[in-house]
Amino acid sequence: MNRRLRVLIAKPGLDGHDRGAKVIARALRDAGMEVIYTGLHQTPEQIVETAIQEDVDVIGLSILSGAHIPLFKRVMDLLKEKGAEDILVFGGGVIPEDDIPVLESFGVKKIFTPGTSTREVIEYLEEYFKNGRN
Amino acid sequence: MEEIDKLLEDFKKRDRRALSRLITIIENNFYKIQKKFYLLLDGTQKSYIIGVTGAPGAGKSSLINLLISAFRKEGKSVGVIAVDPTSHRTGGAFLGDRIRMQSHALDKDVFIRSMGSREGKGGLSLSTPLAVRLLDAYGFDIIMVETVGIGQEDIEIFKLSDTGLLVVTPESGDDIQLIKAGNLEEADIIVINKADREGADRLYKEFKRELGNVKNSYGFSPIIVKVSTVKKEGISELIEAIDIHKRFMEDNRVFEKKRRERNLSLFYLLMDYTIRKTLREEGIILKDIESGNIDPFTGVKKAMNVICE
Amino acid sequence: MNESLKKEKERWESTTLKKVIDRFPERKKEFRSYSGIPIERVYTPLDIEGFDYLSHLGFPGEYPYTRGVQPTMYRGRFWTMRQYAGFGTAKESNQRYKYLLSQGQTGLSIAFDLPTQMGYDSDNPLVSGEVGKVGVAIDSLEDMEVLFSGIPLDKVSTSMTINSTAAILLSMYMAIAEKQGISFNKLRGTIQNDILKEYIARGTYIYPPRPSMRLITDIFEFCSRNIPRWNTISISGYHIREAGATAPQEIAFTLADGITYVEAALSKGLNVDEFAPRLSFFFNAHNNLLEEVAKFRAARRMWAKIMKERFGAKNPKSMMLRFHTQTAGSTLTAQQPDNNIVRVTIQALAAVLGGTQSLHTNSRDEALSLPTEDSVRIALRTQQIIAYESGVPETVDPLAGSYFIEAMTNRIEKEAWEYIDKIDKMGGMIKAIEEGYVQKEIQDSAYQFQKEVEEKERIIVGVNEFKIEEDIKPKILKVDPEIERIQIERLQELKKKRDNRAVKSALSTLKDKAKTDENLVPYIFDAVKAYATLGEISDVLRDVFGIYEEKIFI
Repeated sequence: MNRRLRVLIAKPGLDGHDRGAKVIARALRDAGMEVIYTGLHQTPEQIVETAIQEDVDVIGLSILSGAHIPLFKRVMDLLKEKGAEDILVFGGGVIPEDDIPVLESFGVKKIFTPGTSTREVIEYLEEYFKNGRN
Repeated sequence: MEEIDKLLEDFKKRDRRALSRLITIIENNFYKIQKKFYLLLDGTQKSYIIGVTGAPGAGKSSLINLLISAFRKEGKSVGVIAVDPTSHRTGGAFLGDRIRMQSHALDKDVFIRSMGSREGKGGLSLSTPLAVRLLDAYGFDIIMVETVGIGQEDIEIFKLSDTGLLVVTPESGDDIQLIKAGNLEEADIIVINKADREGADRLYKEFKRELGNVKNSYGFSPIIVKVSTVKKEGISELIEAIDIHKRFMEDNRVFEKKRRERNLSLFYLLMDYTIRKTLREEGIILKDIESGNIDPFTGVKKAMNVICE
Repeated sequence: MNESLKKEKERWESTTLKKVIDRFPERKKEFRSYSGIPIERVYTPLDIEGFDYLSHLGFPGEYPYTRGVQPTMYRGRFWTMRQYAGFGTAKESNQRYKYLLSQGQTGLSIAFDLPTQMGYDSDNPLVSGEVGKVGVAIDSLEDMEVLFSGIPLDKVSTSMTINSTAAILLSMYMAIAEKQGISFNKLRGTIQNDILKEYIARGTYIYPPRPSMRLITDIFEFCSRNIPRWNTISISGYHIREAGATAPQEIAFTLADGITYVEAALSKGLNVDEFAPRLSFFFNAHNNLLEEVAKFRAARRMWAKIMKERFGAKNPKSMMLRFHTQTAGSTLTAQQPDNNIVRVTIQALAAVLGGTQSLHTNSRDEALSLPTEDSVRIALRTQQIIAYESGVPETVDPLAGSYFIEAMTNRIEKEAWEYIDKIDKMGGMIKAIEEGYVQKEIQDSAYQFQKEVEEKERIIVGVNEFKIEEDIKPKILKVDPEIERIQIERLQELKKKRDNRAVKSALSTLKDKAKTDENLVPYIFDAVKAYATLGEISDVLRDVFGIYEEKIFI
């Protein structure tokens, strides 16, 4: 009853385009979630450690620099290493169609491409967690 | 329930994920661990608790960030609880305090947890003191709790802490507000942040004058410290002030008194939680009062019976 | 005259208009521009009351430059067609530049990869995966030599999108000129060098504002004395707009940044007319054609006033707002990407009608990945069609005198002044950034826009309306992951073969000088020539200056 989704929105790597990350952070907050945004230039190590300390249900990664494959891979590997692979990871940004199956093979659950509405993201998360956290 | 036992076991092995999971349970469904919670509290109340409050934008998180660095240099481990306001309309919250502390994210002896204030008053619900107890049981040398201060409710955080810091800035017009509210002496240390800005000296003098002879309920006169988090100045002076306050409490047996009071206040919070929880589960009494079937006084009598059973 | 016109308008509204509107209501209750400015049904002289041709517009090439900074504009020569390009290694980028020059492009625009922009070498573990991704990787002078091989620097004008590490890249460029035997006064080009918008919108900052501003004014001073034709800064609204700002916010925040740079240079003791002629600007061209044209005109008029009235500039060149334009990347859609060609055409037209000095047109596939060569060519052809076929460049400022354009120009100017006044009252732009005010205003606009799109108050063709099932995968360009390895190998070889004692000595001199007030450019130049790497030089300055911590306000 008191349960609220906790979401970490993170920007790994050097890319500084945070318009999308901030818009989604705000939309999720307005949808009643608790949102943690850690700012630019985070390493995968920082992101995973933050996710664990904050015990988030979801990590959303935003990357527009083209470095998504190595960065997502590192995040997913670290989550596994720490036994935290139950955290749902989704991504957004400029990500070519061809790369989506690659990211999914790492365990990334969903990639939202440009033009996705914030409502789609909210609905996706609400649907995913409708039976509570696993 | 087995899951809970496993968590408790992992917590005793100082597993960080268990710690953060347990905080979540405290926030969402405390009743699930209420009966076993005492198991975790053996030998607690060892941590030194510092409360930090002040208006939005006063630089509380930046200050905590620098304090973490200072304590880490002394080899002390640090736990932080940062409480941000929850929107009453949506129930959501933007938990942005830890941004300023991200440089400590990978330090194994630092643990930072953000919490939404949710229904709590003065930024403090039952969850906050319980989370502090948990960090204490985990064994952090220092625990810092950050809340957004809004007038009278500032003092809630000071009841929870050994040393309470009130962060103000020269620009916010805090001085007049605070003097009016008469809350100044509730703080043990008043931190004037952004001391490099215009008006800091004036503010310092004003507070000095106001607090010169004022002593709080246990005879301590608040210390005023100027700090610039941007220039990283004044932190060692602040650490020293915390130390002076600590020694004063040790010398005057205030420590025990504070901790006794804290236990009492936690007891009340727990009682309140337990009563509400029990009545919600029982259901009928609340419904009867709402519908006017029974009056509130009869309700209390019935409720006492239910609770005592 | 206005009284009778007012009466006539009322008559028209109650007769001709009313008849139609009663039977056929308009599409919407209220019409608004992209930036949320209300748009009237029809504009008349009533909407530009007090309009005075000479003081509000004047003639092209004369104060207040509303109509353009040159008297003949594109009748003299077209704007510079300058496509931003660069990826992978210096060698590949060099080939792309030569191709673009052979296709009729008249200036180079260098994109650097993020490690280069952030002052990290390619072998730094922090940058793994980023090398050569969004631009070319430059670790040392050696890479720069390859980048410009076979390109004589006195024949091209070169624009470099570089900010935190601008002094280093400029020094490398100077070193190449030296090697090519070209004197500095023949060098033409621009470095972006605009750190304030990095804190506001783009994110590639390294040091805190104060030392960053010092590096910038060092460059102003050095260039005004040594590279007189170099544009020392490109004060950028582009990224502010991309981050979600409205048109008035874009020019207000950009001009407020400009004011800050001028003040910094003045406080260093420079004479305003000594450096101000080399200040240039960089704006965004968005979809809303007429609003954008008005925006460019308003910005020119405001800057002229700022320089003349606020800073007492005497040289007309100090008052001229010269600007580069790029079409708006954030308007491009991943859906039905060929539609983007049309968007870019409208945006490019706005820039030309607005009197830009140079233009980059985006490629249709940029919402998907780095642009392919085909897409880059179409983007360049778009500019050429506007230049050679549309007829638009044949007369100066063709939309002037339109009641709507003039009213809109006034309106945008008014809104922008309000922001500038507010920022002045806060104590200037650096303070406003530190308080998060500017960032918050932009985020609010971005969020508002997103909500309007989601509620279909705004239609984005192919995204929230006119959608189709798409399974065509456009051909896209990917950067070879081998590049990182190659780049690291080159770097390690360089570190072995260079004179490491000379490097050490140049870096330690730089460190000492960084602690003083001396101009740092000559010392960075020395370090670059000794083949100190970009990362090594940046680290020295990080040590002395510290690093910036982001302020986030959501």
